[in-house]
Amino acid sequence: MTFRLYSIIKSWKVLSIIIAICFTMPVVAAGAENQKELKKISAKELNQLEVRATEARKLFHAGQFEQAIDIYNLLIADMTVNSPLYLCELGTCYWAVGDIDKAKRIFMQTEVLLRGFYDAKSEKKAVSLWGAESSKVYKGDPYERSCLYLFLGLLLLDSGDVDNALACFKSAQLADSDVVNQLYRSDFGLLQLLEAYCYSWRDQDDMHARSIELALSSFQQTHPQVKPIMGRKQELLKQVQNNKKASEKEKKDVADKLKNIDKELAESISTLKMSYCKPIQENFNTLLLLWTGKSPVKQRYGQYGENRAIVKAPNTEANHYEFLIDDLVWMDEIKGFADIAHQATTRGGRQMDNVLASQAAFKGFSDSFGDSLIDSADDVGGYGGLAILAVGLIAKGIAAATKVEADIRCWRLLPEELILVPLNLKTGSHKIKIAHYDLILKKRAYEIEANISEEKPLNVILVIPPVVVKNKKGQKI
Amino acid sequence: MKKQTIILLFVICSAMFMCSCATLPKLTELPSIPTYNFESVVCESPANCGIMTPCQWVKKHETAFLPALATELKQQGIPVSIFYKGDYLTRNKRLSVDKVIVIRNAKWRTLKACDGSYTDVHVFIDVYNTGSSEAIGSFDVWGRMNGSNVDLKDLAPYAYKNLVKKADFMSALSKHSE
Repeated sequence: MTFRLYSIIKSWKVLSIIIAICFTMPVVAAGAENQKELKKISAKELNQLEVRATEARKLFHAGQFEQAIDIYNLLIADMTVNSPLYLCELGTCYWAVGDIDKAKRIFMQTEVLLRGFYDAKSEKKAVSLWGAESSKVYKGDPYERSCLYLFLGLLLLDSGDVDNALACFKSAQLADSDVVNQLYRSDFGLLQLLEAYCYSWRDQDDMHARSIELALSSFQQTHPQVKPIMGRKQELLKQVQNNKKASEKEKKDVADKLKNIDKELAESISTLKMSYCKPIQENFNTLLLLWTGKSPVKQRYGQYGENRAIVKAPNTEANHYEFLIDDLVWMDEIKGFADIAHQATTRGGRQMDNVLASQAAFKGFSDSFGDSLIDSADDVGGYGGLAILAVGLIAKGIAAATKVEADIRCWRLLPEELILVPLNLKTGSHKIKIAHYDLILKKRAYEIEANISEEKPLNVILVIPPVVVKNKKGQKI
Repeated sequence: MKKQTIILLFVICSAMFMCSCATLPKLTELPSIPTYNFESVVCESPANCGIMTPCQWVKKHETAFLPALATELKQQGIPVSIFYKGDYLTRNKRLSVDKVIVIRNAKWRTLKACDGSYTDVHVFIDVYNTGSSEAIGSFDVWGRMNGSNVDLKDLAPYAYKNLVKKADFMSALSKHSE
């Protein structure tokens, strides 16, 4: 019995989950104090909140973080179904202005809400025919939950709390693994890289090596050269899952195709130049994170807007970055470890999709049934016709009252990708010049100052590029 | 009854086709494209060149436009690298080129005549020194191909064959051009 228990605990997966649960407990306790009662508000009031939130998002993207914070503070004054979303965005704003303590506190509060807050009434309403999905408490998609844990973990690591940071990076990977066929399980390289960093800080060399290996494997799987092949594999696996009544011949065909794709994948991966990732395997005490592009957005589609898709926002400004440290050394960017748009767009379906699909079918049926009754009422005439007309109108009314629109609330203050620059800097102040390029064509450059402390396990520097103000003709001012 | 209807439709369609043919101009009457030198110009001491495009439309068809230009320039003895949108670049790789050839835009049109058709492509190109954000030269070039159902992959080389006949473009790719 003792031996069995030992062997279970020995299994690293179980151990990671235990560590994740144990270390997130203080985080939960810290945020629990701030939990409020859910205030019931109408759909109209929710829309008004969204209008204000949109205004705050515009201010954030215009670089006016303080003004955005003021609006978000008003939006979270009452606990509504959207509060966790606004808290996520408020935390990002605080981090953008460099208020680490407030950002950390807000993210902790959000983590508690996303994980622990459950309002039975709004959940029940959301799955009923008459309630919109957006009337339930915002819980976020896997990529949004992952980002919350990532941001919180980074802030904890910067504050010296390595153990809780490790728990956050583990929780982020668990949140990220909610996908079809487990194909894209934990391909968020930055999480594994930071996990490795925490292990090295805790002198767990074997775990450190394993996490680095996972991070490099994630980099390979999400590399632009490999992505299309992985996409094909995911599509094929999805087909297999949807076609459960496939004949033996069909199964064999799919197996052959999968075998070929795997072969192609292995060949493509073998050609990748892994020397690109060398800096992350060397010693560093500072991690510069450059915010690039805008977060992906969710859009409705389908006859009644019952389906939703996550769409990448186009990034036209730049796609290559170089960093000059103290006017001495040029450092390269490292891409492919925190591609949030990729994380968002490669995730599988949700349980709510099935609910919305059946609601849409019901709405469609009621609507067409109502139409046919109204049409036939005229032919029947008399009292019978009037009765049929009344039933038809009721059916149309039911169809109109059925709310099937998919929830498209999303954390809009996320980057498209975080570019990494691992640095080994001496304690003190440093100047970092950042140059933006459109491939090989220079776009712009600016300078930032970073203060490095030797007391921190990792100095995390978040850089949100200054906004380029353009006139009406599109010229830079 | 059915047979008669089909015959009638066929007759109407044929008549419409003949009318449209009659109203179309001849190939010789279609708008022409600029004329270029007969032979390509030799680039003295060619620089290492990189090809890229910031244009979204060209990016969508980058496999048609970028390799075709690289092939044409290589045939003229100019060392070329292609930079695709998804590439993970390094500073060293960026600095390995001296000149940046930017396909700023590309347009194409189909011209139909009663005795055939043409497909034209119009490519706009800028040349930069590496690290500079000011172009050392802007060029545009036309290419023409017979037929209307043309693949862009086949069409692009017709423009590039004319591009290497432009003396100012070829001199911009020289190490000595500023």
